[in-house]
Amino acid sequence: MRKGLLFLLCLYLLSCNRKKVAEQEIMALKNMSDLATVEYVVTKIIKTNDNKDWFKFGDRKILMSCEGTIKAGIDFSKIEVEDISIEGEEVTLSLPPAKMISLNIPPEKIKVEYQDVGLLRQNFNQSEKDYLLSQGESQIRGSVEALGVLKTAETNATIFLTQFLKQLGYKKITVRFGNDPVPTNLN
Amino acid sequence: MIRSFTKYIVWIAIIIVAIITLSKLDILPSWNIFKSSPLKIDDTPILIKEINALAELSTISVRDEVVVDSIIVDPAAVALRTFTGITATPFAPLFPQLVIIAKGEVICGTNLKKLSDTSVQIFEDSVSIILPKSEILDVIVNPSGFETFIEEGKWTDAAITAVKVKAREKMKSRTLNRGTLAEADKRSILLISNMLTALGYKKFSVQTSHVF
Repeated sequence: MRKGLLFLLCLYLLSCNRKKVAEQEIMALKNMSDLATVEYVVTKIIKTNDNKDWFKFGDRKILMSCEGTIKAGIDFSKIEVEDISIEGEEVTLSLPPAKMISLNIPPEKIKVEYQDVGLLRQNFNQSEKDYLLSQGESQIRGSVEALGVLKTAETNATIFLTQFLKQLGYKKITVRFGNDPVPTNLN
Repeated sequence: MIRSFTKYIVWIAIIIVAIITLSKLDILPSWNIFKSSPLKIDDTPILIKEINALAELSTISVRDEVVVDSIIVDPAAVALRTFTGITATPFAPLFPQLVIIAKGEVICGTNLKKLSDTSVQIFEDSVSIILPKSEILDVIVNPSGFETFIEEGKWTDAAITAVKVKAREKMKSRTLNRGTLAEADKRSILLISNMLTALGYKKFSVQTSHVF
């Protein structure tokens, strides 16, 4: 009996040990070689109406607005030695096609503009709002090509590299992208 | 009489076993008539507000995950409960609590727009480049990177935004404390050196504008 009580006491003391677990380091470091040449600041309205189910009575709708920044540019790691050809003071660069580098939607740029929730319905919680916003995020990601971000990134990359190579002493600079047959020459 | 009753029981048992087996095999359609349809946003246009030219050489990306929490302590409610044992809102938690897990990315690199005319110098066949020091170019924590672990009580949008900004700042300070900018500097130097080698330069010097 006494042993049993002692065992239970030990078990209780062990279970009450609330030692704070050290903060885990979850960082993952990755090398990058991207030259971002353009940023597009875009806005989007995110709205939904949760009245599609027959057993839900009353309105439950939300309208949010968000602002995000899309950055695009060139991946330098994809440039091989054979992509650069030099003849005297002339240089030709064959660059990989532009890609989206990042999309940033800061929390302070998200606003709930309107919310209408009926008496019999629950308010939108934070998880639901984040879920809706992440759908908006996906739509922005999918529209990069249509917004012309990549084309502008390539034009800006040409302008920047032309200026940089001119500083290095080259007189004629030709930049082409991917399988683009017409080289871009901004001399 | 008993025989026919037993026969019915056996048939009912067979039907029940068959239904259970078919539903376990996902052959039967779901009969949950109270199943909520997922929330979906409407298709709305994306408007371009600004377009800016950049020249940012991203060299290091740090993916991180942080946990942030916040608690609202109302002194009046605490005093009321301490002295009288009564809570003003009996069905709500005494201290609204919010715990958020944030996954994001910190991008470090060199802003080449800060290169001045004197940053690049050529002496016959040799080149000297002084790069601007590395900096944090972006701290990205998008809505898809947030997970609400605990949300108890009433929280205003502004208060939730403040907690999310806290998560982002935590991520930024963790990256800085790790000495990532020094690594980013080394990588910028390496990338520009590789580019100069590819451009045919044999003698060159690439440095950053500050020493760690």
